Amino acid sequence: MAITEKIKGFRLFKPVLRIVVIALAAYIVFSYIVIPLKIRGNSMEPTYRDGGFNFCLRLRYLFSEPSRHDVVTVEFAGRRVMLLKRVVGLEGETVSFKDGVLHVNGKPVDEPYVKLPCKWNLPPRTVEKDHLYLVGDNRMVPMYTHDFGQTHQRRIIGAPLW
Amino acid sequence: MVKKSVIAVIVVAGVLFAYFYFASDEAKIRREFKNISKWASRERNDSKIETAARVNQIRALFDDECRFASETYGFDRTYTRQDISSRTFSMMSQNLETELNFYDLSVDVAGDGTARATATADFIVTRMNGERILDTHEIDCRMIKKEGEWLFKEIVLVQILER
Repeated sequence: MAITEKIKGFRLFKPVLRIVVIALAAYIVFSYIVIPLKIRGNSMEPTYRDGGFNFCLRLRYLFSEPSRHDVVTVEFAGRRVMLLKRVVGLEGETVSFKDGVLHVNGKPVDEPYVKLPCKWNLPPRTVEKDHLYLVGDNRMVPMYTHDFGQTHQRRIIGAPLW
Repeated sequence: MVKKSVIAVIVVAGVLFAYFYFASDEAKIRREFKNISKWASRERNDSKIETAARVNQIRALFDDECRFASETYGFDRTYTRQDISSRTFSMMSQNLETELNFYDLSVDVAGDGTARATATADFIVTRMNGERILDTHEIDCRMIKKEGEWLFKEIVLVQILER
């Protein structure tokens, strides 16, 4: 009799346990591994469009460092709002723009992802230690309205999944 | 029945009183951010009187003088409450809609009546011509406790990207 009641109790408990495990797994996956992102703004167009959806893959730089041309997510005070930018300069390098063309260490760099016309001119600046130089893909907008520049690597928290 | 209702009202009032009176400093500061977010948001149908009333409430959250600084925009100024309210009113009334949200708020209360709060401030403005402007910053705030109220003493926009 007691065994029958125990089995009955386990049967009732099983779906609850399943829901708890699924909820816990979803929380861990979507908070620490792939964070859902709604893209807002046009600074990464045409690569990422305003209103698009993606995930921030937190593990992207677990065993490697960001390299040039990578798109990365940058945190503000936390992870609820993030910046999406492209790495164009690494530590110690000199970055500049001449008539819209990116120059690294004085040499022009091919950027196939920049599809919109750009007329930016920016004097050379050196990327500090442990920093990365980040720029959006949409350089059609005036330079003063576009958020770009170097940031500390600790602010890079991952990369978009696709 | 009436007796039970009276007791219920007293209990609810007691709980509310205790909540507001004994709320921790951190909870009070968090509530202030929530209030600023609510009061700084303006919908297109809001009248100027409604906007002025909201600005008046925002003004009360600042100390007599508050420092605003941003390395990115190259400014560092101290404003009086009057400056803050007139500038806030002008900004809110000159735009069709304004929306201010705070995310990832972190509060650190020191024992000497001061506190530090950091958050991501997300500001969305819809201009009269319909153009939408998004402005997001990490903010670092210093707060001071005066007569039981937490007031903003300093707001610094943290530079995330340095050109």
